[in-house]
Amino acid sequence: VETDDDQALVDGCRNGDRAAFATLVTRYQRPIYNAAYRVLGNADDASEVAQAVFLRNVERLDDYDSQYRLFSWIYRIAINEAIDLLRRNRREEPLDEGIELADIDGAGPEDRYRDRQLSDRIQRALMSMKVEDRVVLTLRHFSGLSYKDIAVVLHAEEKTVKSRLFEARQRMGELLADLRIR
Amino acid sequence: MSLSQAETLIQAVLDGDASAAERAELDRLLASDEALCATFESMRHACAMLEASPDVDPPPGLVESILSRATLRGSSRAATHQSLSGERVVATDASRARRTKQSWFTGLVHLLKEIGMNEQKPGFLGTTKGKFLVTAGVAAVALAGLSTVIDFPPGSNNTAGTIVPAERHRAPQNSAQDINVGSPSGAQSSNAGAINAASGAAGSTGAVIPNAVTPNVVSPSVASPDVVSPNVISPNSVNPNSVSPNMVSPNMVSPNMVSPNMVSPNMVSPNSVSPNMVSPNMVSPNMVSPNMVSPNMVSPNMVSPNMVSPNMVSPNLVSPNAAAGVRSN
Repeated sequence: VETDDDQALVDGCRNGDRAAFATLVTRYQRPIYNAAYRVLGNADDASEVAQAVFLRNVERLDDYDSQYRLFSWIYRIAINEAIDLLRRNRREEPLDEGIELADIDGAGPEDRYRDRQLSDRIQRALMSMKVEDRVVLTLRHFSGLSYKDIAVVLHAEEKTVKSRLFEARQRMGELLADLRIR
Repeated sequence: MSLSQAETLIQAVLDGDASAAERAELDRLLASDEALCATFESMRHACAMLEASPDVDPPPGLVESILSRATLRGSSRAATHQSLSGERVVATDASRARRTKQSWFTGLVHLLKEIGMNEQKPGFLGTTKGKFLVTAGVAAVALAGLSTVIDFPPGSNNTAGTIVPAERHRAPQNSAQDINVGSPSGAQSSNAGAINAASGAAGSTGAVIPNAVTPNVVSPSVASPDVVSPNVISPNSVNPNSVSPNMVSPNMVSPNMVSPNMVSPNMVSPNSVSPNMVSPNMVSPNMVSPNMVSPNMVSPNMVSPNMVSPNMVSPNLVSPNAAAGVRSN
């Protein structure tokens, strides 16, 4: 994620520069979509959230505090939108603990197919976890945010983030215990 | 909850942030604690899987969709700080939709607030009393405006609407000419005939002044079935000609005359349906006689040997013990 000229993009958007807004969207749409997908587990919902994030972004540009990094602010909007969507659809609860996870051991030789299987398997494991655990794992492992940035996104203390992430990793380890690394 | 020393070390190693000394310390702890070692391995495995999981491709056209949904127009902030040339990305469909949902009342309140701010009266509007007075004023204006639209309370010219339906049920008043005691025949108004019949039934011989009989005089209790005996009103006392079809107008029975409250759930009491209404004696054992099923109804000829095929009896139906019993016999 580029951050050097994020402030310039924000200034450009505030000035009504459509090209700056297009650059901002192009830069962040993929990580935002992926974060939303990991939290929601649904491509359509992730697409909806990704669109809402950038539209909100434009609306609230005046609220953006430049002491924080832009992507932290955008991720916060994304996580809030995703959780709001889960609540609206009453899907906050984790999926059944006994969910049948796909086995990738029998996957074909194609790398893409194997990656797809692995991604689906991890996604199903994520969806069987609590939303809080899912979010912290997503921000750390899929979005690559630091503890400090995650704390900013979640409006939480850094030590709370570390503790929550430890528990989430433990849980994920249990869920993926039978999965071999190729 | 804070992490223990071992958990902190594990976290640092998993994140790749641990120093050489921290790694050594963790190795020492893991060597002496199997459970901790298993936890560490499990978490390291999970982290490796998460890192190996590829990104998901966004749907094609996502960027274009976002850009097309962002509406271009000038904002107050942009207008004050920027030049007026060029397109501006300052509002979205979502924000516009929310704005259109704002009521005129909310707009009025905001307008008043802005006026209050522009007039540099934060001391007044900032207080609870000030807010209350402003709100009350706005509410009064709104009510006054509404009252001019819906005319509430109704003016004197519009009160007829509440009386006219009642007038439909008000029969013409009897005049002195309508009362002709003792002469049931002749040209009489329908109401006069009715009074004649009533007065005759009561055996009264005096004159009945129309105005003397008001609806309030005859109470429901007076007109009880006991007071007016069926024998009192003879067929002769009511002249067929005096009962005109017009006496009972469809308008006389208004839907409003029968209120839902008139039929109370208590009118049908649970006690009115007694368990004794269905007596056990109503179904007598004698109704089904043993003689109705006669042994002759099933004839031995009805079951032919061909009806039971050998395949219908599975070997599993006969236990080995049973078979042994047969052999021993």
